[in-house]
Amino acid sequence: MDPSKYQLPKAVQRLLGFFCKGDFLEEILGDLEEYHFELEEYPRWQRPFLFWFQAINFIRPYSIREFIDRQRIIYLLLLSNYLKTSIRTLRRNPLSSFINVLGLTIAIGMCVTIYAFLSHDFRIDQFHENKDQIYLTTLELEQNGQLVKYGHSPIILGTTLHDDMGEISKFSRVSKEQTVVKYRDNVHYEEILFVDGAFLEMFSFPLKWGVSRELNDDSSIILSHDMSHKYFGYENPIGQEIEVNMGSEMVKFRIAGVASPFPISHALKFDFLINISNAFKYDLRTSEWGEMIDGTFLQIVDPNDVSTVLLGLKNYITNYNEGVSDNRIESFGLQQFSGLHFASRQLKNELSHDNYYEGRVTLPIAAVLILALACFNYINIAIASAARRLKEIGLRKVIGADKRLIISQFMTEHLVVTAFALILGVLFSLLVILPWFNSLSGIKLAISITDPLFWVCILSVLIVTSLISGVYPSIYIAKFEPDKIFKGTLKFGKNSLITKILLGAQFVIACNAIHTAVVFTQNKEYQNTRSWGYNPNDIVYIRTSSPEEINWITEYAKNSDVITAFTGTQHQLGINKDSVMVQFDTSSIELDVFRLSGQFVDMAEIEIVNGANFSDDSYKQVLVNELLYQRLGELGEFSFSGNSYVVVGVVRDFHNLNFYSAIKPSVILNTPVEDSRYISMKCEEGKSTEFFADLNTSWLEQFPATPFIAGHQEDVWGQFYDQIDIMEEYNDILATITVLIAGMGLYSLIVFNTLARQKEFSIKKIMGAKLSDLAIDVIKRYSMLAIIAMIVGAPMTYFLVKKNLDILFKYAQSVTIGSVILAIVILLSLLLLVIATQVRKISRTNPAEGLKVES
Amino acid sequence: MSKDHLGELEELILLMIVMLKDDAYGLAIRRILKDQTNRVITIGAVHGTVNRLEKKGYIESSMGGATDLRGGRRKRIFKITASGKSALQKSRDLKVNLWQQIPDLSIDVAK
Repeated sequence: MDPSKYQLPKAVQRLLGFFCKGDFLEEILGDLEEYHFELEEYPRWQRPFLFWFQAINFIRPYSIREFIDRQRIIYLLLLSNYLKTSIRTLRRNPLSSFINVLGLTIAIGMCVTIYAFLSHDFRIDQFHENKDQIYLTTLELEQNGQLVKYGHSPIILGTTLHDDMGEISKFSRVSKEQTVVKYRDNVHYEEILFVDGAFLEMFSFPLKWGVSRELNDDSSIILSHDMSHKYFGYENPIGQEIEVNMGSEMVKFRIAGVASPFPISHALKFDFLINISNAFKYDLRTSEWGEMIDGTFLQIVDPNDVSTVLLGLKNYITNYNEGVSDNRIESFGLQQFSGLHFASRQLKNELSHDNYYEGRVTLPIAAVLILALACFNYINIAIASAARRLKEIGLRKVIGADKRLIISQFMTEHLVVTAFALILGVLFSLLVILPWFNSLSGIKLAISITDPLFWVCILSVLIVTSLISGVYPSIYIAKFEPDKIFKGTLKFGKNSLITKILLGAQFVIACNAIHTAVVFTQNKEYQNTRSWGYNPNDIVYIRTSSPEEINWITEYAKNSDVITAFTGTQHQLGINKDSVMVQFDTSSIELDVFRLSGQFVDMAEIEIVNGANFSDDSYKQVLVNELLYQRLGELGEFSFSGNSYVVVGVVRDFHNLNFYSAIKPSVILNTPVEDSRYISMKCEEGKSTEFFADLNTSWLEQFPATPFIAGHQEDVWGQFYDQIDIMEEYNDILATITVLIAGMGLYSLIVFNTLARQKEFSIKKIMGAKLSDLAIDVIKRYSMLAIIAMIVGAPMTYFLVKKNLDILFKYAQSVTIGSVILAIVILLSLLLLVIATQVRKISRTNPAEGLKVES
Repeated sequence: MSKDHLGELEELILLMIVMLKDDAYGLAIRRILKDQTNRVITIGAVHGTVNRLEKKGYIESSMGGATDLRGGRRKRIFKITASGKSALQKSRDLKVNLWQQIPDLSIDVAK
């Protein structure tokens, strides 16, 4: 070993450097380094132990330095003195302290909440041990000239791949089915997940009771914790039998397991698990390439094999495309499960979802802006209030405080404020914002105090806000020269550029927040009044599953005197539909297919703008919506999915889904009576609620074993309006907070500035200035600033709010100049209100008092 | 413990410093102690002892002798002082005196 190259480990140097006296250090380290070479006679593994043993042995009473030397004691005393003065200053200026602490508290509270949200978002499905080894097969279709990725796959892809490729250690197909589940008197429609036996081995869903291996047995069923609770309460249901409707018959399954509650951050979940072989056994599914399921998961242990599997997947494209008539695919692909949640925005699939995109984008921005507002307030108030502390600073400097000490004094003061706000902020978040956010969003967000990352984030927020808001005022104040302070010749920057810029930025941010609130309130109105394209009022629908039920409901409706129209359909508008791909010239487009009926079109008042309603029962006639008609150009022949139809009419575009989604080119087909799955009934105006309740009771008497699935057509996307209300509430509160913080900052700034000019105003008053002149004087100071801020802010907020709405809605209130102006007017009136309070104060004070004040 | 009392390890190390002449520093003392007496102590303990000896005035130290092996750091070279020599002498005389008073002990031990 070349002795000149060796370096003692940094850790040793630092450790001994910290503990040992300086004059010992050189010989100690020298000896250690020499000792290192002596160590070569020992076995390699022993060396570090011996070395560190020797190193630590240097820390002995004789070598330890004095940690508290005299200078340090003085410094500590000084610090405690700073703490004392900090608290005194805070108490002497209750207004500015209150504004600072409140602003920072709210801002930090928001940050904590957003931390909770993001940590939930980023943990979704990350608890699965094999998350990096599991892949979802994807397929790509060409749609409207673009490649679109889907997560579903042919039912036999999993088995074929597993047989053909050794790289795939396990696989599980996943298929969701809605069906009836019955245990004694409990009958409900439930979602059953058909999976392969390896599902529970691949995914980390531990069982609370039972054995996961039994999933291989096709007569076993595994329940989620919630479902076990729903059907069996707290008792252990293992071994009990539960009935599941498998198409034509109720089949008994033995409960073999109950899952532990899922972690909160999950996307993939199940209510009931049964082996997918049941789907073939009861003829729900066939083994063909064209038969699709919701997803196929593969487990590939060695990451190097992924490319091999990807390559291998290419061989099956032909197999697949030969098996289907349309929807030909371009390629197969793989999506790693750990990234599925974030990929779900682009990858259409039923198993995972990404509902948090908007939150992920907008929440951090909101948090940063509010934090910035609070910091700006602090900076402005600190600078403005420095005028009252000039003498203190001067005195300190004269006694011998240097710049560094003054800076550390003000930084201490600031740290006290921030730390105080931090504690309040965390409490505020835990007690107020998080519960509010949870009740709005329905997510169960929580902060775990034991999470080290949380503390890291909290501390970094503390440090960053302290630095941003504390450094500039401290340096600014420390610069004052004592002789000028005492002579009174200090040019005190009431109009400092930074103050102006910060105030301007506050105007802009506040303007944005108000504008967002204004637009979202307008948008709520717009959404509530926007037409669905049909009239959902007074229509009651009920789901039926057998001819007896249809017969019974038909009789029931006939005997009822409030029913004015009655029809059976295969689909229910707003609940389900079919999607097919249709080739138009060069590109294929996705078509929504609704199997309704002529009576339903009449009943729901879907307006026919061209042609006529269905005229016969041949089921060869179709109605198309305006969007599709634009492509077709004329009534007449139209074929898709291998059948040819005659377009007899054009209906006005109607909304199937809510206003988040775009209307697609759509086709309405007639339903043969025997295919009816839903019965729709139009009631006399205002009678539907009563009718619905009666129907419910009669149904339960008649069919105790079948769940009553029915509803009002108006409610098919009832949640949508709730969500819009939530959004409005959320934006209103955000705007209120923003305006509150900005307003408080502005208020205190104006208070300080008028205080500083008290003498000037008093003299002016004595000389005969009118109140209006004084008011104009105060307004003038801020008018230019406000104007510039508006010029910057207006286009910015116009653009941002538009972007925000575009992300959320396909059909939304358009952002107009009017709403921008309204926001500006609200902001300006707030500004005037604040100024008015101060002018009022000036008018009330006796000029003699104002002159006596020692500034 | 009186100030001029010499502990057992102190005495040994003092002797080693005399033996090492001009190259008596912490690690060398430890090394020679190991070779001569088969006693292994930590370098920290050596430093502790020489520190005590220096306080008692039995040795004095100077810095010098930087080598590559030490990463260019100097050693603290120890040298025995006159009072150190006399302390050693005193300690030896004391023991010789004691041994002379019990001439049969060695035979007893041998038995």
